[in-house]
Amino acid sequence: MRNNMPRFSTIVFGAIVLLAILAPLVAPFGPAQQLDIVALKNRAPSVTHLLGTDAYSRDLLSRALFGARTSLFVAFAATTIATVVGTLWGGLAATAANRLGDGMMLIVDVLRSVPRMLLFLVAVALAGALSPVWLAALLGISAWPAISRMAFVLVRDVQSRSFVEAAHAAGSAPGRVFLRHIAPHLTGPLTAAGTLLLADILALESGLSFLGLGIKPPGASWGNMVQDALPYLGSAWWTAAVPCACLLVTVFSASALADQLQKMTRRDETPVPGL
Amino acid sequence: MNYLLRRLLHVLAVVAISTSLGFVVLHLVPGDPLGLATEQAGRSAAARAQLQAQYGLDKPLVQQYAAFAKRAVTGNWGVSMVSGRPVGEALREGLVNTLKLSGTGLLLAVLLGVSIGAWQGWRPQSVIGRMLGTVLTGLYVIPEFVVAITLITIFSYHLSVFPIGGAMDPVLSVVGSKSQQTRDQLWHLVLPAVTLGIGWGAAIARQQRTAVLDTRQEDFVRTARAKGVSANNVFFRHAFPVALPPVVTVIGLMLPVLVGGAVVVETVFAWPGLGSLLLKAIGARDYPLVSGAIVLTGFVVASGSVLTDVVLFALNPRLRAHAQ
Amino acid sequence: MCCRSTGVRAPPTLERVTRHKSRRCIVRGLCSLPAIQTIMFPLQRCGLALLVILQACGDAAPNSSANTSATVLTIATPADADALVPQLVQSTQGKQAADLLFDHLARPTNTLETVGDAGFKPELAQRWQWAPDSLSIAFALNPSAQWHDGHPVRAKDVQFSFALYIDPAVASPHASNFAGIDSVTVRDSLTVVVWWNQRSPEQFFQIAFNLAIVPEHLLANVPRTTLAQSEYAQKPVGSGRYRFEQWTREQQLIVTADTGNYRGRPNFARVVWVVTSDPIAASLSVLSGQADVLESVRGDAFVKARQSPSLRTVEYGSLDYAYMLFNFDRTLNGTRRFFGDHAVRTALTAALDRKAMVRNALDSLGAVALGPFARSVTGVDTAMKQIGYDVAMAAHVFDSLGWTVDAKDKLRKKNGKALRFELLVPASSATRQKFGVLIQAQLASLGITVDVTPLEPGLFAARLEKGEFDAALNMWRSDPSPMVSLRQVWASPRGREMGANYARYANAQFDAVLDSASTAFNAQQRRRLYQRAYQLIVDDAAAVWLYEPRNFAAINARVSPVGMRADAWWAELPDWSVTSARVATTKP
Repeated sequence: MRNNMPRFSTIVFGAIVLLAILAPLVAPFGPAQQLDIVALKNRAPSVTHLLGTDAYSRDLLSRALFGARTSLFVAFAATTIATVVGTLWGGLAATAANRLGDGMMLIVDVLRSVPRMLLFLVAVALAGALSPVWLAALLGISAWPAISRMAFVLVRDVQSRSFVEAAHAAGSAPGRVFLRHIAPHLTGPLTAAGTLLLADILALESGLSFLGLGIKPPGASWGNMVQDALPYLGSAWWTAAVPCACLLVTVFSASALADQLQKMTRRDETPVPGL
Repeated sequence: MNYLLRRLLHVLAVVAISTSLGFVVLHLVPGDPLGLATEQAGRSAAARAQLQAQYGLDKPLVQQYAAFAKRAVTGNWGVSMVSGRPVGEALREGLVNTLKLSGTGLLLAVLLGVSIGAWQGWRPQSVIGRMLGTVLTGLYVIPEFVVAITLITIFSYHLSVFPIGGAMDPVLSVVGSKSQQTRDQLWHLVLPAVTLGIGWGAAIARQQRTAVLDTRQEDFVRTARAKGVSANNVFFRHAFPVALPPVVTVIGLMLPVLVGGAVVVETVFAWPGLGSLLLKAIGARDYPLVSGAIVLTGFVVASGSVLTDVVLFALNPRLRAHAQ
Repeated sequence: MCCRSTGVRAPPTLERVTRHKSRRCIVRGLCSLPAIQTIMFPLQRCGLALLVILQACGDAAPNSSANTSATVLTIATPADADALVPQLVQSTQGKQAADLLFDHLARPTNTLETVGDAGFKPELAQRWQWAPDSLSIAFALNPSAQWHDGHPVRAKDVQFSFALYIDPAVASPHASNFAGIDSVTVRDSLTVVVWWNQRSPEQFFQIAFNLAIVPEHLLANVPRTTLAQSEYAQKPVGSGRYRFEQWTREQQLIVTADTGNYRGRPNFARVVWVVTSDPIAASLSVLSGQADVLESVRGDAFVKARQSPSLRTVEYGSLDYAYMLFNFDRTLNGTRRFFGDHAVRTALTAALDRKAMVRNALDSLGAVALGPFARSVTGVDTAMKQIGYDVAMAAHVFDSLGWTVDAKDKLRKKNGKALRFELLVPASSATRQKFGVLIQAQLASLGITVDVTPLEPGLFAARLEKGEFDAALNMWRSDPSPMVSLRQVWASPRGREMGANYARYANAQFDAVLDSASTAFNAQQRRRLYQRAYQLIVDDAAAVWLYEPRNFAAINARVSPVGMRADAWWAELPDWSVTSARVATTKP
């Protein structure tokens, strides 16, 4: 029981990502294809439509797959942007001189104070609709301060360790020191944090799409699938259940995976005698 | 001193950024935000002239910014283009409602989060503890609208225990007694506050768990145990107080969310707070209201972070020594 | 599950720690919370699916605690009123309140006859007298009519109200309704005379239906340009059977009964409009009894309301029709006046399966619109000639115009440019948003890209007025008079008066027929002329006629509604009766 959850969640998450990548090949219909708006409206799951159809007679399985594709693309892109920018900024701040480093982190602190939702609302007010690329960029920009704070602390911590001092004393170039001695200690915690950030951004993107600020129809995103399904909660509950279940499973497996990664990289919780 | 200076700079920077963002929204948005508004404001030349004078639209940009900043600080944020109400009044109502909701949600979150997180951090190997860990991580990232819709469906629709939405019953607000009104408002507060409390509580719980786990490894804990102090005493008198400040820091980091982040919950529960006000204002291109909301959020977040610093100071003797 | 105490000292190993619970665990919640979490976890895990199944099976029990003695009618509305002063009101919600707060000279009966004065009964005017040449009517006001602040209603109030409507400083959107009225004069303190430039069949309707009376003594000194921001506008005073009580913006609007009113005291002591913009919350609130009236239920909400024993679904007539309008003046896709080409418009109409769309979006609660009219009111020939659903013909027309399908991306292109346009949709109308998505898909299968843009209603209206749109889905709520609707929406703009002709449509033949109809006093001749006008517009494919909704209101069973007119279901609200006292909705 104890070791099954992380393995299980890894498999589930991997499967979802794979399905998302293969969506155009695997999906039986197009995501915006309205098959028969009179006869196939809100049909329950059947052999031809494994997850049923929605109010516009679009196949839910296909929409869920393409929704996964869009949502995961946005989430991965945003996470990558956030992680790369954040690590660079935090790492640079940590290796830089004291004053400069503190100044850089002050900027980070200030940026963290900006409410994310406000940023998105303002962006939508200015731009109208956001394409997936811009959405990913915006989400990434809103998330990098947190990563950079983490990278800063990690690098500062490793820097003070003796083997780094030794490397400096031996005359290695700073870049080499960073790559060979410091960087390996970053990958673990940053991967864990990145995975958790991925789950968080996924949830945020679906929330934005739910409010109508994210992916615009007829583009599929789990968030706007839920929004489409709201008027039919009573009569066609599966139209809401499918995207919600997808969200829950994906977010859950990603966060369980992140948890496991984090556990692997921190100090062990070995039993302490006497407690 | 260095520490205090940093915090002061931080606060000033937040205020400056939010004021600038508010200015950008009002004056630099493509499509002349006030031009559209004058269409709605009376369609007459006189009204348009009044707006020109009020916002100083013909002066150079720097002067406009200075005027805007002065107005922002004194609280004169103009008039809503859609409803004609003073922006400050509408924002104040929205802020009060949001703080009521977020404050209650945060209270729930702290109670739940600190207790569960500490419990789990102290006993990480238990079966329930491990399950709890995964559950907490899941709850931490579950989208708010899923939780909100679930709660509304069970408690408002099926069990009819709580009202569907809104902040108060309209009839009672006119004819009810003070105590009835208070009870009614609390009743409307429960579901949205619980929705917020679940997500935030999970975040706090995770942080608390990590903090307690870390503290558990410390030498002083082992020493206390070796001395014969009971496990509970060790926890409550030695470990827990040390593990508290990181949680306060996390709460401080959540301040921006308190003010601007509850948009989804406010929308689903039709709670008349700042978030839903802002969302509607943006949809209606009511730029004076949007700009005012941005500046106000900056102020509130800045003051909140000052508050957090004060609390941290009080809790952590080392910081106090540092500052001296 | 609560604290158990073993009373034994802590065992040495960690695994056994979990079974030790201190009797003094300070927060008992520490013990019980994991249990709750363990229960919540599988619930959340199984997800929404389980819970909405329960919902589908269940039926909400109404709230029951009786707490207050006043009788209150609660109306759940999707939006807040925009204004309450009649000269400024545009939204339906505002109109509902304004109709209860203010009086007109005469009020329409259910027959909705707009020619002559047979279809009207006295309101503020006790009786009226036509001049022999019909160029003026003298109205004798009811002497016991009073403003809510106690002042009596006098003829100068009527004169003042008319002046306010047509004053350009006020810029009332209803000013054009009074075209043709020369002046309003005061004969004595209780007699007011309205003068016209020429006779017309609907002149009585024009003055009685459109003119709401506001108090001169309260508004005389208010600056006209900032009327909307004035004190009066926030707390209006009228002479209607309800008086203003409270208005919390975006939340609720409350009016209370004017007990000493000259037309009698209304049955409900209070009427409250609660703003519930979320349609699900609105339908849930009326199903659970928190609200009494929800106008316009559709889809799932309609089915649930039908099944609920505490609700009645009441159908009231509809004068609405929805259509996709084109901006004739727009330069699109490299062509000036892209929609000015009759072939393009006909092809677009033929490309849409209107019957299937109506079936999908409205089930049986609507019909395909046939033209710029609502069938119910004008007794029109429903077998008139229409442009049928013919995708092949549409494709052929576009091909012949040079828009051919690119083999690679399946889009229609001419000289490398893809054929696309933007369709504006108001975010407040769920039905029109659905139509937007349906139209988008149907035209996409033909290779035409449609960008659907939902907008807030205020913004939507502003962009229509300014002509900043390619196409839009608009719904027209007709007046009882077909002439007024046709003239406002489809007659050529005269001078700077565009009226509601957002499409900038101009058809001289149509204008001529309308002019003839406006002076036709013979009922049969009038009908024939209207029919000819409709056919002209439909043949010209001036717009794509989409649907006419059937309107159902969900009303609590204890409320007996009366006089729900097609143009205003709230018209006789003061006379609605109740069978039991209103119960407040707090749970103990």
